[in-house]
Amino acid sequence: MNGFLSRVLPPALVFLAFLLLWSGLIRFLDIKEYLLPSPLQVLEAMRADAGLLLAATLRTMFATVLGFLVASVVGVLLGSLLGVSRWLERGLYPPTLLLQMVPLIAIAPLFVVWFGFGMRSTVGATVVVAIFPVIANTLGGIRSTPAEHRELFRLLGAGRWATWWKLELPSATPAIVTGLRVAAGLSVIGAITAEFVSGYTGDQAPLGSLIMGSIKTFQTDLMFAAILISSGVGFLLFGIVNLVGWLLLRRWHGSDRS
Amino acid sequence: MLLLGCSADPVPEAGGSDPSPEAVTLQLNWLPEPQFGGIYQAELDGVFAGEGLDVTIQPGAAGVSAPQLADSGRVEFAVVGGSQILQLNDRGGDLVALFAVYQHDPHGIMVRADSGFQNLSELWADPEATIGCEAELAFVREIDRAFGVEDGARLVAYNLPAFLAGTQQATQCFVTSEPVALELDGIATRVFMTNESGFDPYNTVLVTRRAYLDAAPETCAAMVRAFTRGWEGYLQAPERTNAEMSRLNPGMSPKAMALSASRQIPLIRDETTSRLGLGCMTAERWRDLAERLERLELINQVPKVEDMYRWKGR
Repeated sequence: MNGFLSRVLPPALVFLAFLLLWSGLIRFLDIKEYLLPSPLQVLEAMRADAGLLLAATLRTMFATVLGFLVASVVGVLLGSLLGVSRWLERGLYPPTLLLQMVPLIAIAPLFVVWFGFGMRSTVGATVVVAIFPVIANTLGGIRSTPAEHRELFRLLGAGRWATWWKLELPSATPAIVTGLRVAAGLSVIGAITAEFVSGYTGDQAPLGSLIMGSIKTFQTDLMFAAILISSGVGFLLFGIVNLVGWLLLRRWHGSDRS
Repeated sequence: MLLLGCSADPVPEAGGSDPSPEAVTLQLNWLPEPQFGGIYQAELDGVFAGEGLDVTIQPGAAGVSAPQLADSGRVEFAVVGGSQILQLNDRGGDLVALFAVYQHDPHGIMVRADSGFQNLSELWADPEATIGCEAELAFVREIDRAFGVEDGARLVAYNLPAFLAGTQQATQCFVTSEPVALELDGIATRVFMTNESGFDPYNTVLVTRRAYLDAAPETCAAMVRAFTRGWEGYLQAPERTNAEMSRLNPGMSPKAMALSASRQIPLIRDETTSRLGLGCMTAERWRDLAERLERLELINQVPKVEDMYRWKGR
């Protein structure tokens, strides 16, 4: 019980203090609700538009998770491919860096032209945003495979496929999990940003469309509610990745023993 | 409803003149273009200076919220949409309208000229159609309320490249903007104006916050006089101002400026302005808008509209 309290109490107290500060600032500075709604107003918006927010959240969550999964699988494969030879790495790594640099808000409208409205373009944009940390960390993890282990596999006559599957991938797993943690947060950002220009609107709106719409109608309380929920989606995905990482690594890697 | 007289002064002139120009900022809600032609005309003709105003014209951009900047006091004046005034005030704002440039709503739904759609009803009923629009905006909600059907057209995010690529059958537009740009690119379009459906709010409205109006009524009056003279000048001869706005907004050529300027004239001048003057407003129109917005659930209640605008000493 003490252990549980010592884990839960500090963040709970900080959160409570934050809520009190937020409410106090609004009252003390007489801030209008369209500039900064109070925590209670945000909660009321969540209650009043619960159906709309729930439907929007499910749409965004689906696109986020799908985009994250595609980014994860393709990212690991691409990272592994770059790890096959220095030649390939030098040739292909710079173009993959483009994925990190490209401003999504600028190209998202083109995704709609290429892939159509809704889920396809949102997933595409999510993959573009989330894939780079997975590639980079997979490559880094593979490159960090101890040389003596590689030598052992070579002496035992292991082929390229066996070396990758039984040595490089397990060795790179901690780094891959770190990349996936970063990609989890980026996936939500990518999906929401893409939905600003690619989502359906009205009663088919995902969270991104809802956020844009609430800005234009000065419904800052609804906007905050949608933003908090989208952050929650990010936390959830991050938590799942953490859990998977712990399950994979707990028996043999110090980074996830606790 | 008593309609007030024809002078352009919304508040009594103060006695005496202050030699130091009053420095104020006017926040636009988009880039320099004919929608703001009268403002830039006033600047070029020295009208602002003649009224004792040192006006910094701040162009808008995507993401800039002119109503909030004015209501929060970051700027003294702003140009906003008529619906936005009611919506912001319903959420705790206190904006007051001083001059309505557009007497009629410039929004519409644009389709390609060869699309086959004859009216909004047909378009909204077509299950194969996707319409790019900001569905939360008042005019879209009004059209959807009037013509929306189950399993009809799908509303998607506004995205002009998608309309050009043909993945969208229709898109919302500002009649002086998108159709003009496409016409000059050789793409024929047709616009179903939303004001034809009866939803016809004022647009491009000069606003200030009530506290500023109470503290500086003469400055506000001077601004309105400058707006009036600026717009009168621009409507007579827009060429020089268009050239200047094209320099400030290179994305719009002088040719586009000229075409846009000609398209907006019926929105600015009408039978009412010929009686009451450019920029005039009536309580009737504001009340009609407020009732529509309440019906659309965009505001919680109809306000006392007489408090929301100043025209003819009100």
